[in-house]
Amino acid sequence: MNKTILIAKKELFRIFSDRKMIFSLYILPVIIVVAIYSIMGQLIGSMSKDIEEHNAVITVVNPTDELKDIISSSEMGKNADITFVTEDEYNSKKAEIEDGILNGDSDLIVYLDKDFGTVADSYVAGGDSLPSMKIYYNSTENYSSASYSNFGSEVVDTYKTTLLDSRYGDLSMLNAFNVDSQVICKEEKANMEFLAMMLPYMVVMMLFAGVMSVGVDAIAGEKERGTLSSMLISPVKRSEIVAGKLIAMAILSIISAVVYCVAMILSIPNITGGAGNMGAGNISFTVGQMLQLVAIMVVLVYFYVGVIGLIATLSPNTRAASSAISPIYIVIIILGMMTMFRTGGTNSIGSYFIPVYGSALAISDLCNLELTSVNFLASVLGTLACGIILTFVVAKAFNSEKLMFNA
Amino acid sequence: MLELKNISYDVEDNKEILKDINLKIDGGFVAITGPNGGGKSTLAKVIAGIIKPTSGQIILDGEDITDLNITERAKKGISFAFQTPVKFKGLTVKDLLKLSMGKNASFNEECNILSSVGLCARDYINREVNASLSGGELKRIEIAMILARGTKLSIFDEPEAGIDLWSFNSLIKVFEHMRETVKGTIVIISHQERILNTADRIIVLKEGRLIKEGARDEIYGELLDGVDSGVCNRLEENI
Repeated sequence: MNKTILIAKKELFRIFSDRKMIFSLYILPVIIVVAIYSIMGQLIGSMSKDIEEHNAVITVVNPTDELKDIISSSEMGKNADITFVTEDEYNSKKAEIEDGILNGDSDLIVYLDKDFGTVADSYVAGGDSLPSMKIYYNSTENYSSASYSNFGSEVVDTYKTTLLDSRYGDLSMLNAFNVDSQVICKEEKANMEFLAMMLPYMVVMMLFAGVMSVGVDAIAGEKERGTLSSMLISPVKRSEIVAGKLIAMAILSIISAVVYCVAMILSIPNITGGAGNMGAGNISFTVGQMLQLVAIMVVLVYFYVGVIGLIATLSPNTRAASSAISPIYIVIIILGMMTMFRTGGTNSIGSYFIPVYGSALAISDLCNLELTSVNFLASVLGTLACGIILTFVVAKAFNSEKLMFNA
Repeated sequence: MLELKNISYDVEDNKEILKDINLKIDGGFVAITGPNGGGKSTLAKVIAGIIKPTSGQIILDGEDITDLNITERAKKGISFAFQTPVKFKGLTVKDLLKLSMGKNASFNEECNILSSVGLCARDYINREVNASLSGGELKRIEIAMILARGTKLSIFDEPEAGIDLWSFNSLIKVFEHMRETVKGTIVIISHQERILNTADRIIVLKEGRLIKEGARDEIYGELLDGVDSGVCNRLEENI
């Protein structure tokens, strides 16, 4: 046991005595996370502000006087660049105006039938015909989409209400029943919605990256440099060497994961602040949730240490190990992403036994306050069992002189 | 006593690296020499257990150790030093001695071991075995680890590799000291005249075969007289 501790200490010292390693393992990820989330938040915020401040370019064909009044008194009318044209003027420039919408130079065409005013008057007087308005916009342009939405709520709805009011007098007569919508949800769940989407993906990915950066060098790197060979020819038990290395890898990776998760949780307000209400108000975990999260992360790290340890042991050098790990990293990313966009349906208990995917599901459920004890145990036990199997395989591989000495 | 019986080692394409080696090493300071590619390092690795012979038997003190792995052989008292000593970033000299001895040594014990390889314990015991140490210092620390284990059979594969002239002189003194003090067998793979001159016995390998074996005076004289031009040329290059 003393020798295991000595070897684990060696691995830890190797990292913690190297400023570059500390920076790349523990400081750089935090800087990257905070920077990415802050930049994303800034970009989302400035995009929203830009759309908000944009002066919409609108062409209104055959406007009625009433519509003109509504537009001029609306908030949109004060800022938008609105051109009123007749049918003939529109027809003469139709291609040019429509091209403007396509190119993004213009945002909206509001076309009222030539007889819109007459039909509207007739409708107000109790007629059966409805006046017709066509609105053309470009859904792929943010300015155009926003103009369509604002014009609909600020102008069209007001115009409709005015005509209905003129026809019926008391609009409440048109109301068959009252609808009073109330949102029923757990406030904490609403707040954690964004975290539930991002955290599982980030945890499964970053934990793997952390193990990868220390694990490859600890085994394949030492094999390449001859350090491992010198250690193996000493009377130290191989199981003690394996245990020392795996324990150190796990400790380093857990620190890396914790640093990363804390950075991410602290950075989320930066992005949600920019995006408005994204369901991430006060994010908080209970002690129980924290313990569950730690347990899930610890067993996941153990599993990753087994995977990376095995690949590094089977590889003759770091280059071969890195090449072999790359496709596995892609699989890990995909498994993490699979939980990002899942709907409310429940997963079978079997899914929780699958390493990585089960852990991501459990973390997602944890954030959604839906993690049951059974599913939690399934994810922990499934991953733990696979980790134990991998550890035995690594220990077995360490006994092969052919693998360890590249003989 | 170490006994090799009909040891052969083939690699891919049936190329024979070692051909039916029969050898008995019973204590003392033994140098294995011969031209490059003669199978010296391979033989050392076969004895240490790094590679398994294609055929033959390895007997240590009457026990067949052919199927034992390197760690099991280390426990039986065989130690091996690679050509280039490695760094153990994160471990101190004290840690390495502890790993070698399997226990915490007293300062006096540590001091004795380090002194025997020409290092002052006070200066080195807490030093990390990293790039700040020279090749000569690393080699001496490696030898100290072997001494700390008190092995029956210590094998050094070209210990002079990568060592400057001044460190080499110190290394020779270490080996001369070991020759006088170490009770077990010391086997050194070398081309260096001064190391061969220190040996009690010399074994010559060429093209995978044991071509000469005997007392130093007998073999060394033949080598210098150029009885075997292949070996002699190589020795001349190194002298």
